Amino acid sequence: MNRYKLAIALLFSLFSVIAQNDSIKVEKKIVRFTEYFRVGIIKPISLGNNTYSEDIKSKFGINSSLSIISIYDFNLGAGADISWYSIEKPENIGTFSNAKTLAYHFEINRVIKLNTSFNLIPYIGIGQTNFILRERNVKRLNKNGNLYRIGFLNSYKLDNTANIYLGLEYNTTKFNIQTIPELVDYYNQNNQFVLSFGFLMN
Amino acid sequence: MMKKLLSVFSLLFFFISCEREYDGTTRYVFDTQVLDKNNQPLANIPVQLYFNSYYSFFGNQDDGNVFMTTKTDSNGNVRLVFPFPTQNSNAVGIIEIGESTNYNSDNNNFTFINFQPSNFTNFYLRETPVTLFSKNELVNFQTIVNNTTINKSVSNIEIEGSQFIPFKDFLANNQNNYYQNFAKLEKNQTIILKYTVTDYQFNPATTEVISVSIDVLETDLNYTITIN
Repeated sequence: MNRYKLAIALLFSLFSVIAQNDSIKVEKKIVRFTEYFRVGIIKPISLGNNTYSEDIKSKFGINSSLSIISIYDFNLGAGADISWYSIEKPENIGTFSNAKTLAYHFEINRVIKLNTSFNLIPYIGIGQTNFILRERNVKRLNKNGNLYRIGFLNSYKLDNTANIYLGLEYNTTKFNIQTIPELVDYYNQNNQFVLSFGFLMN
Repeated sequence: MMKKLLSVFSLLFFFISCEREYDGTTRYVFDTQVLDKNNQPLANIPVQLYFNSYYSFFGNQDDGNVFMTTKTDSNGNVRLVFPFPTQNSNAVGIIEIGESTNYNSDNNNFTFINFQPSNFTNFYLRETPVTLFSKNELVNFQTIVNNTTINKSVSNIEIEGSQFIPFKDFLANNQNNYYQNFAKLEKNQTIILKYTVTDYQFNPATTEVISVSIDVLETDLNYTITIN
């Protein structure tokens, strides 16, 4: 767990230091409209010993985020992720066909120019994750949890507005599932690293 | 045309809504152990969990479908962690221990039936160990009532002895008090068969409890209770 805390601390530090060193100072409105949209493919990797890492296995997912308002160069946005999972241990989770998560989140990000081609885009976000177990593609069980996420994207400029990006995110979802004390952690917490790749319009 | 379409959609909705949903907010834990008659743990015994409707007119589409399958570990222990169906489905749980579909299996199977969330304490239920008898350790025993008079009746047939009761019904008030005109008994023992004879020739009717000692050997056995 300490490794994850260290990774989060490093991400925060990186965010702060680079933001302070941003040398391009142009007089801008405090609040302004912005155009920031990204869509990509994600690969969640669940961590630890819990039902989300042991009983199901992530396949891939899609994420998107849209920001239209910027305050002090911080883009405020919202987004949604959907990820699909296969059932690995039906003896633990039940004879469902598959699982998926739907996440809706608010996000604050900042586009930091590294050079003429590359941008670094750190972000943090909060939201809701809906964990769904399905049988014959019909929803049979679902549970909502609180989502907290932090990550960064490294984007490469293709032209004035189009970019491609690679990203890394750490997120945690806390579900409130009632069970015996020794199994609370097993069902209630999903910690993930999420690798992402996609297009970004900015 | 519109009415036909509406009917078709209504029918579709009806069947879709019959699909059972599970409560994602809870996980119940069921523990037990499976032993042989010498109290030795039985490993790798299949255990199946499924849900049935308790009092549903149409039932659910997936009634009888296995929800979870696992096996006992090397110590004969088995743990099932599962959600119950949502409350409006009138569902009860059933856990079957042993190979119910394999008639060549050496052991008889045992079933916990009709359990509900109310049978769990703080989401936990530990049942006393289940003893699975091997099929060749048991004989079938049947009682046949030969009643030649309308003035008397036989009730409360009970067996005292080593027998295999193949289920536990969580809705039954007294597990050991179910009618036993058919039982599976351990071989080579002496059992006591008890029954009550009620005589209606008198007012009020009189009752008499009869006890009979019966030797159970190696073969199936029928016992006839004759009432004159």
